[in-house]
Amino acid sequence: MAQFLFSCPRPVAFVLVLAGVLGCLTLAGPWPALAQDHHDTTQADSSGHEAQPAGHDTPAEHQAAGHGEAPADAHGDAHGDAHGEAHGGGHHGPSPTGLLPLWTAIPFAGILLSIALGPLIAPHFWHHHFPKISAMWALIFAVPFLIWNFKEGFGEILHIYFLDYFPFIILLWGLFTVSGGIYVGGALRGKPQVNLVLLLIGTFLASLIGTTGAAMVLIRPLLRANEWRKNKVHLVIFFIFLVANIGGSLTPLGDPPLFLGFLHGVPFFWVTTGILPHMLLTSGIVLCIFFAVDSFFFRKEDPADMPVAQPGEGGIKIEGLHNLLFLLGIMGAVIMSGSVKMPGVTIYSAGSHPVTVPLQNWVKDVIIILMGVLSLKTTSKVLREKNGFSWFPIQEVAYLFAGIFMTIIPALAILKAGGDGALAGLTNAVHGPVRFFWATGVLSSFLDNAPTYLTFFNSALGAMGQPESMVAPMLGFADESARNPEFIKDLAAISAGAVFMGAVTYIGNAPNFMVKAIAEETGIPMPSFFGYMLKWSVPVLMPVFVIVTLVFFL
Amino acid sequence: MAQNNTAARPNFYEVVFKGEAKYVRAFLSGLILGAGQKATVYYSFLDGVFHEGKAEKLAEMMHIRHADCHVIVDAETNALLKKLAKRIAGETGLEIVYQKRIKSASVEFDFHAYAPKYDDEIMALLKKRPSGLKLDDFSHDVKVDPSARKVEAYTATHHFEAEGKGVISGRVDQVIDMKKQFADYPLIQSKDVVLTLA
Repeated sequence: MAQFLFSCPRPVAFVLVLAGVLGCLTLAGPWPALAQDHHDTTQADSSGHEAQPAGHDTPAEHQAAGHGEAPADAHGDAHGDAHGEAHGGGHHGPSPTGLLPLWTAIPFAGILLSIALGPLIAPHFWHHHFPKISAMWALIFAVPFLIWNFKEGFGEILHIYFLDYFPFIILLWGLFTVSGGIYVGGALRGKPQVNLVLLLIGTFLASLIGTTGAAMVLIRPLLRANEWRKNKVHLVIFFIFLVANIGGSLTPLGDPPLFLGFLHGVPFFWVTTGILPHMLLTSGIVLCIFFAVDSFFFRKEDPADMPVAQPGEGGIKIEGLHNLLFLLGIMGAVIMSGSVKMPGVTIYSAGSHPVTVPLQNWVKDVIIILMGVLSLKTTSKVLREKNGFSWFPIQEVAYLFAGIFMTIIPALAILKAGGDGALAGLTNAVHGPVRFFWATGVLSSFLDNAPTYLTFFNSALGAMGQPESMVAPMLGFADESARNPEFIKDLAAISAGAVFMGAVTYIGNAPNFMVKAIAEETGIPMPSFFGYMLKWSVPVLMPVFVIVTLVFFL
Repeated sequence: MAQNNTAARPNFYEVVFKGEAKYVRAFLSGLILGAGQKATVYYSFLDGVFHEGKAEKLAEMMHIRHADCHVIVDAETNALLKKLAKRIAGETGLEIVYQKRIKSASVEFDFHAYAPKYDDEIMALLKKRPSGLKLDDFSHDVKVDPSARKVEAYTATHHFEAEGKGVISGRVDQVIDMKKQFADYPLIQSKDVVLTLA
């Protein structure tokens, strides 16, 4: 073993040793005794859905506990089946993981911090070793977890991988593949009006093909159009704000956090209607600021530098437009999976909670894969090359989120336990839309926004003592009488915070770094991590977010 | 902004006026036009020549300290100013604090480029500098990571990274001109020109 370690490159050996030490510490840590009866701490409802945590056994007690209006039992029964199984399929009843102590979430914090700090502190080391680091954090949690309780632990792992991770990766793969086949070309002249239209298109396109896809498709056309200009940094900055972040807020396809919300019971079109006012206000203000800033810098340019339009030269030219059909196919599959109910396929039944994946989820995933394959078969490779398309971004997501989803298990379970869990302090401290907006947002600025969203989504549910099966009814879907305005505001705040504030730093959302790197490779001197924040994101975005808070969340 | 109406001359002088920069600029423009002579004039506040620190600037803004305006002029203009110093002070109130010959000037710069094309352009710019300018303490480091050639999101790195830094020194007019070329090139960051006085 020692010989093996000495033969490894030094950073790899360091990672392995660190993993070993942390793993031993974790194993030696005070794991809770196995619950004799899970109903000691949580209670399953009669329909077998995820239960309310103990302490909120009845709607009356729930109300008395200070969580607002208690939902009627009937809602849980009537709507839980319809939506909870459609999304969260088959994870019935409480989980012993709700008993886990807070320190079991250390690997989750570790992987999020690695993703945040790795590209800043040691970019090349991170680039070469991120799969190992992800695996390290995953194993630090998974090995002791499985030793602690193999049956339940294995069930939990299968549950999160089959119901969250695989659908998540398949959707991102599908969107990335299809959007990579759409090429925006043509001879555009980088004037403020043209740039404004490009950013406006990108802002709305991001909700259809995802922020990563929209960024990949549009960043090069924007840079080409403005190649002649000396002052270009602001273009890339506002592109990150709008296309790589804020624009992705209108559908679950737009940004990974919202798709995770969809997988956990948020109806597809609730995002569109629920976040539309926030998105329109935010993007409207940011676009106005952009136009003013771009016009200011445009006046500093020498007009003689602007390329002269050639006779017969067209404006914008889009190739690979047939990929929009595949995009519609993906969107249809996702909407279908949230609206139809098919029987589930049980893939694991050894634990106290069988892991059942609803058939509509399988159908959705197969359709998405089919759309991706059709896009690959029917689109010229030249278009993908022009977009700089490669599979590497999807590999990154696949490796890193494999670790994130493994390590998030204890964090989610603890948060779901609400006031009874080890994070009761957080659940009690962060409540109400203002706090949710800013807490989710500030954390999403520095950590990946997808797991951050899921954390606060579960915190909101935990605080209300509600299972995931109640998400759609509380949002006013399926039954207007179950509508919970408090939860609607909370979820809007969490969604807006996670998506919008991903723009505050380079590490807030994956496409930010991608756009920065592409811009730098075309000769644009992008600001440093802190320069980006101090010169741009904080002065421009923070006042806008304060306005959003005043208008929507107070 | 330089009023460069003549070929560069070997000798330059720093002239410091006690007075606000805009008045000094207006006065010098009028003087040169009136004298009908060709002149080279650089204003430190326009051309990025180092003098005052931030604390001094703040003191000037708060009227704690009198305003100084540093100007670089060619030998003929310097001689004219020397000749007219008393009249200038009497008629305009602009007092000349000192006039000193500039032995040399230097400017520090550094750059980062993430594509060979831009690195090549910067190296060409440095190479074609006037022969009188020296390039000191120059370092140039290029790293190539073929595995990072793809588009990346979570692990974004550049497949090509070049960074360099150095100090250009020599005749003040040529150094200032070089600094202007650096300013036109967004990947190069340069500091203020530092003067060495006789």
